[in-house]
Amino acid sequence: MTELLKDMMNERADALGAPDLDVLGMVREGNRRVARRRTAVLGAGAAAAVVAAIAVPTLLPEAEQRAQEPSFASVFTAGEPSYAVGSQVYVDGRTFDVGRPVHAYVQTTVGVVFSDRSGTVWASDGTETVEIGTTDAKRAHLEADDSRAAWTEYVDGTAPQYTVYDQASGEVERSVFQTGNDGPTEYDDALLAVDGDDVYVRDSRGIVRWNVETGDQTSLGRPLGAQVEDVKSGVIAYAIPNTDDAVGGTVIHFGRAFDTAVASGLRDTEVLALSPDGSTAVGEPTPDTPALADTATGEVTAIENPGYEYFTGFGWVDDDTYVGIGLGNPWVSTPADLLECEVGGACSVTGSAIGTLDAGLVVPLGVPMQD
Amino acid sequence: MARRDPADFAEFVAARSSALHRAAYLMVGERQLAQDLLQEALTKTYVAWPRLRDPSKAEAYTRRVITTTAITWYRRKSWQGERPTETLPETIAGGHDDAVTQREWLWAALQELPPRQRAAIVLRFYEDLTEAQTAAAMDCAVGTVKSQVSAGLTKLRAQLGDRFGEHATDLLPANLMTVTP
Repeated sequence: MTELLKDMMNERADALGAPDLDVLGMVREGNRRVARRRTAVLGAGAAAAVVAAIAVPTLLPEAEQRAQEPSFASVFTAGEPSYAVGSQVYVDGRTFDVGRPVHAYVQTTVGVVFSDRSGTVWASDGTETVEIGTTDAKRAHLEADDSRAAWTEYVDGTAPQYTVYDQASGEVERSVFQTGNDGPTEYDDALLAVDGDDVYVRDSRGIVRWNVETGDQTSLGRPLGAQVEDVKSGVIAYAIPNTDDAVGGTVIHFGRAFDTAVASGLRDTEVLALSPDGSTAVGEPTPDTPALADTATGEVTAIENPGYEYFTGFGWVDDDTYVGIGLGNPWVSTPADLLECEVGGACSVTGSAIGTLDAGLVVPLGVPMQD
Repeated sequence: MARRDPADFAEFVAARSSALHRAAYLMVGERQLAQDLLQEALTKTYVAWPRLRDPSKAEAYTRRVITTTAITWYRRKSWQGERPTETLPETIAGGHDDAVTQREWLWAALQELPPRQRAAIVLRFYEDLTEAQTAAAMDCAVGTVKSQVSAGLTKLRAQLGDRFGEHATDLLPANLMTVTP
C-alpha cells in the first residue's frame, strides 16, 4: 500500500499550484516579534523582580496543563538565553522543572544537558528529563554546539572517556583518552570544545579534533603550550603563555590553524565565547573588564559596562547578539541580571534579578558557578 | 546566513517554499490552510534565522514548525468544531480497479487519520525522511514515529479492507505494508 500511498500523495502534491506568499510580510512580522519579545521580556523581568518571592511557585503549571503546552523546541532552536535556579530552567519567559538541582549545564538547539551534584548527567527538552551518563561531580565540565553536548566520563581503573550526546537523535559517541605507548602522558585529559561535528579534546597526542560523524581523529599537536578555549565554525580561540616576562599570563589567539593565527588583546580571560560564525569573541583584555575581539584581526573593542559592579559576556544568541550577566557585591547574595547585548550597540536586561548564586543560579557555561 | 538577512531569507523562501507547501498541504488537506501554515512557519523561521547556519537546517526547522503547528492547529480547530470534516466517498465508481477512485478514497482516508499519524505518514512516505528525521520534525521520539506510522497504516489498511472487501488484498500487498526502518 505504501506505493499506492506514495503515488497518491505525489499526485496530489504535484497538482498543487505555487504558494502565494508574502515574504515582505514575514520579514516585517518577524522583526516585530523579535522586538516585541525583547521588550516583553524586559518588562516581565522588571515586574518579576518585585513579585518573584510569591509568584514563582504559581508559575508552574499543573501536570495536565504542562502536557498541553507547546514544546520548547522552537525556543531552543532559536537560541533563546536560558538560566537555571535550583531545578527550574527558565527560557523565553517560560519555566520547566528538571527534577533535581542543576549543578552545571549547557544549552543545545534541543534543550539543556546538565550534571547534578552527584555527577549524573541529564538531558531535558523541557518536557522530559532523561539520565544520559555520568561525570566527575568535582570536575563537572560540559561543552555544546548545535544539538550536541559533550562531557568526560570517569570510571575508576580505566582511562577517561570523552562522551558526546546528540540531543536531537539520542545518539551517543565515545572516545577513550589515549595514553600513548609510553605510559603516562604529560597531558591531562581535557574536553575543550564542540564545533558542529568536531569535538576538540586533549590526550597524549596533544589537541585532537575528533569528528563524531566519521570517527576520524586528527592530532593538532600543542604548539607553544596552546590551550583551546573555544571553537566555532572552524575558528579556534586559544591561549598561549605570554612571552613577555614582564607581563606574563596568557594571550588569546584566533585562527583556523595554529600557524596562521593572530594574537589579540584578550589576556588571561576567565570566560571566552565565540559567536556562532566564529567572527567575534567575547572575553576580557584584563581581568573583570569585558571586551569583544574581531577574530580576523585580533582587534579588541571594550564593552561599556551597563552599570554593574561586575559584568561579563558568556554566550551568544546569534552572530550579532551576545548574552551577559551583571552582578553586584556581595557576589553570591545579590540577585543577578541577565542581559542581551548587540555587537557595537547597547545591552538590554532580558531577565531582572533572576536569582543569586547562593540560591543556585546557574547560567549555561558548562561549569559550576561556584565551588 | 547567520545574520537575519532578508535577502538570504527571501532566497531560501524562493528555493524551498514550493516543496514545503506541498508537504504542508498533505498534512492539512486544504490549500488555503496549507498556505497560511507555510506563511506562519516561514515567519518563525525568519525569527530563528541567525541560529540556522545553513539552508538544510533552515528547511528542517521550517518543516518541524509546519508539522508541530499543523498538529496544534488541527487539534484546536477540531476541538472548536471549525475544521470541515471530509467524508469518505460512499460509492466506488468503476470498481476496485479504478485507480483514480482508489486514490481519491485513500486521500480522504488519509485526511481522516489523527493529525500525528497523518504527519508521520506524510513525512515518512512523501518526504522520504528517515525515522530519526521524522522524529526531529515531529518533535518526538523515534519510537513514537514507529508507533504513529504503524497505527496510521493499520487504520488505512483496515478501512481499505472494509471498503474494498476481498479486493483489498490487491491494494494492500503484504510486503508493502512493512514499516521500514
